[in-house]
Amino acid sequence: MEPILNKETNAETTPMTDELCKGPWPSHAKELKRTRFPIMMYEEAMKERYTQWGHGGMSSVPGLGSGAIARKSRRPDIISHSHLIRVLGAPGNFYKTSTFRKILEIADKYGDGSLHVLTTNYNIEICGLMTNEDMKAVTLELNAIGYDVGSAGDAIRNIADCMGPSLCEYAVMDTPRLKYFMTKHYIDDIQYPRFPFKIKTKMSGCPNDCGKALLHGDIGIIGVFRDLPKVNNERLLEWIKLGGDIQRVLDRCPTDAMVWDGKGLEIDPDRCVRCMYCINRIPAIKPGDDRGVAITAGGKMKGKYGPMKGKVVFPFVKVTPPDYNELVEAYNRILQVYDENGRKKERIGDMIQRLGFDKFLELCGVEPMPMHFSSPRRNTFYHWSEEELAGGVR
Amino acid sequence: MTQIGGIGVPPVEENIPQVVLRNYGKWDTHEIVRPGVIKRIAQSGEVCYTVRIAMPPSRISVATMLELCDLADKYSGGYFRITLRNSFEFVDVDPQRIDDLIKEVEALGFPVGGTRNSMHNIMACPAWIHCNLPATDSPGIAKAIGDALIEEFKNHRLPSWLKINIGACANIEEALMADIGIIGVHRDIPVVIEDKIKICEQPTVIRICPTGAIRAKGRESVEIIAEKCIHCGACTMHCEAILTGDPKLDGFAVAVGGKASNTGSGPDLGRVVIPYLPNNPPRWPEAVEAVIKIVDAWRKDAEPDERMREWINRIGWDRFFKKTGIKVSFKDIDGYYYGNEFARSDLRFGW
Repeated sequence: MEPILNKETNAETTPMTDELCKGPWPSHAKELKRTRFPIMMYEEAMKERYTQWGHGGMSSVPGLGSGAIARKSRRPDIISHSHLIRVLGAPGNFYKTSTFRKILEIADKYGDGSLHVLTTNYNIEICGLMTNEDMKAVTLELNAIGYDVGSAGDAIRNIADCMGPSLCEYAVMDTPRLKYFMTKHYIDDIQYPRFPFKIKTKMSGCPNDCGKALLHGDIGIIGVFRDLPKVNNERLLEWIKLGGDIQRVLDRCPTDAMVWDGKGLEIDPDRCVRCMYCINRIPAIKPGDDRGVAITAGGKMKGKYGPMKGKVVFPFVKVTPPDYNELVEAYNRILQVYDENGRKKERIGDMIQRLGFDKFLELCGVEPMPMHFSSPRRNTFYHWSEEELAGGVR
Repeated sequence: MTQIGGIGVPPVEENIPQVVLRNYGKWDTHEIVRPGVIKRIAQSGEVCYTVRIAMPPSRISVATMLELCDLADKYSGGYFRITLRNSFEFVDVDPQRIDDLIKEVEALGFPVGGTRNSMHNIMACPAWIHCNLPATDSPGIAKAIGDALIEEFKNHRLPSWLKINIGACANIEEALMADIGIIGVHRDIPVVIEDKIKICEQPTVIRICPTGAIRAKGRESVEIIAEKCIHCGACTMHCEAILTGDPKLDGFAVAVGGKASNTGSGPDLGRVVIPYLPNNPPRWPEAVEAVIKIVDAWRKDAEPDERMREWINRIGWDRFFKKTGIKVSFKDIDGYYYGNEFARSDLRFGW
């Protein structure tokens, strides 16, 4: 296919965007100029130092689930509006050119020829759509090649995953297959918004947390192991012989849990926190075999109490394909508590802050464990129920 | 009527090359052959080479994606993946032909790199390209920083990896989750457009404000209490008739030290160290200068394998400000809700 250039919209002089086309780093301005995107919108924004786009957000197109985002323009002289469709990313974010070319064809046929690959929630956006009919047509054509739209509005957003065991040796949980299962299982909640606010679900295969599940996910699912990392001493000696710097790893173990006597390595069970550092550095050390996931809740940036880290709700849940019963049960409990207690436009993190984490755990039906806090509380301001007053501490 | 949606995502097996499928879950180790090229070795002894390139911030054209697809067809059997930092990765490249691929992809204008101790791909939101709330232009800043630090992307010269994320308003999660984050900052008080405000539900608009800075004005309008406003943009996102942003006042803040991994000191969000810098399109010299200043101080002082946050934890925030030459202001001291926790309650100063 020939590069798409629209002479009419790109004919005017654009000194600012031209400046951004220069330089060795890949340029978005150059990319935009290869499409029918109204480049004057960007040029004017830079000239005015202010966005030229108007109000927008999830738009409900009759007959179409979530996934359509509308955007008005403040400059009707350049363009009246421009909508986009969010496509749920494939498991592991792997793509095959034969199907991806079809996505590109759709983007070129209906949109302005620009894409966002990938968004911060790992979707693909097809940009520059003009009508509801086009958005419906795009969805139908995507459906025909096995892709679907979603990830907009107050729904479960794209269930994002890392590459997991497909290419990574550290993964203790099969994230791509879990993503496939979860997306199928929760497709109605993904496409039909019914929650107080958005729920971003993120998954990482191991505590390295490349998917930023703990920080970024309203609900985070992170692969963990409970036993100690496995050390293959023979291979370790081989690695040292080839120039591996064991001293640096010993020094940088955050809890000093590694005991090395020159011949063999032992890991102190009372000190190891399964942080993955030695596993990342030394190929002779592998994650343990008692594997599962930790489920966190409340990571977010916007909202009342500002940026928050996620909090561990379920420290260890067994992963049991093909129906993942334990995991779905735990996930559903968080959804239910949020559905029943969340106020309109209140993220899970803000709800936890308002309710209190103790109350939230109780509502989730979780038994309190030391894994739920980094330290116990320092005040005695807690509530007592009638039953507790009669029968002692729960 | 044909059913729309309800499909989900394609099965895992559909988009994965055979060598990956054969060794799924049975990978043993990996080596970085050269910056950007990873050799994954399976327990069976099979190998899979991947080649990683930087991507333009935020938007890419269909035409360019088609060119990349052509390269993927030619060199990696038609398979590729997008990494979690939006790099493009050719999966399963023939090791004999890696040099050819790199030559071709660099000729298209895509640098190869972004592995291990280098600057990884820069993430940015669309901002001025397609959003109504940005205080700054993330793709423009990303491009300016990328141009300045491209050698760090192509080489393994840094103490550890460096991730830079850019969000153009206070809502973009990514910005606090990278070693260096840039966050758009609004400083104006939102403006209510009186003849349009009727179209928004009054109770929702009042409810949406996190600090209760919006109150009813008559039956149909609202007003904003300036001293309560935290410039978060929540009202603008939900009501068309309230506008946030002023070209003369908007700008961005710089945060450092975000990190997701559980290694070292564990996951934590970044902290804002420069509260405000002005927008200066198209090249944002202030942003580039601030980033280079922080990176240079870290590079000079950090031990091998020490991420930005670990370095700061070792030397302390007092020395961080001294070594980077960043001036401390009242804005660095957190007074919002539980921010008092960040005040110093020990005497272990680093004079």
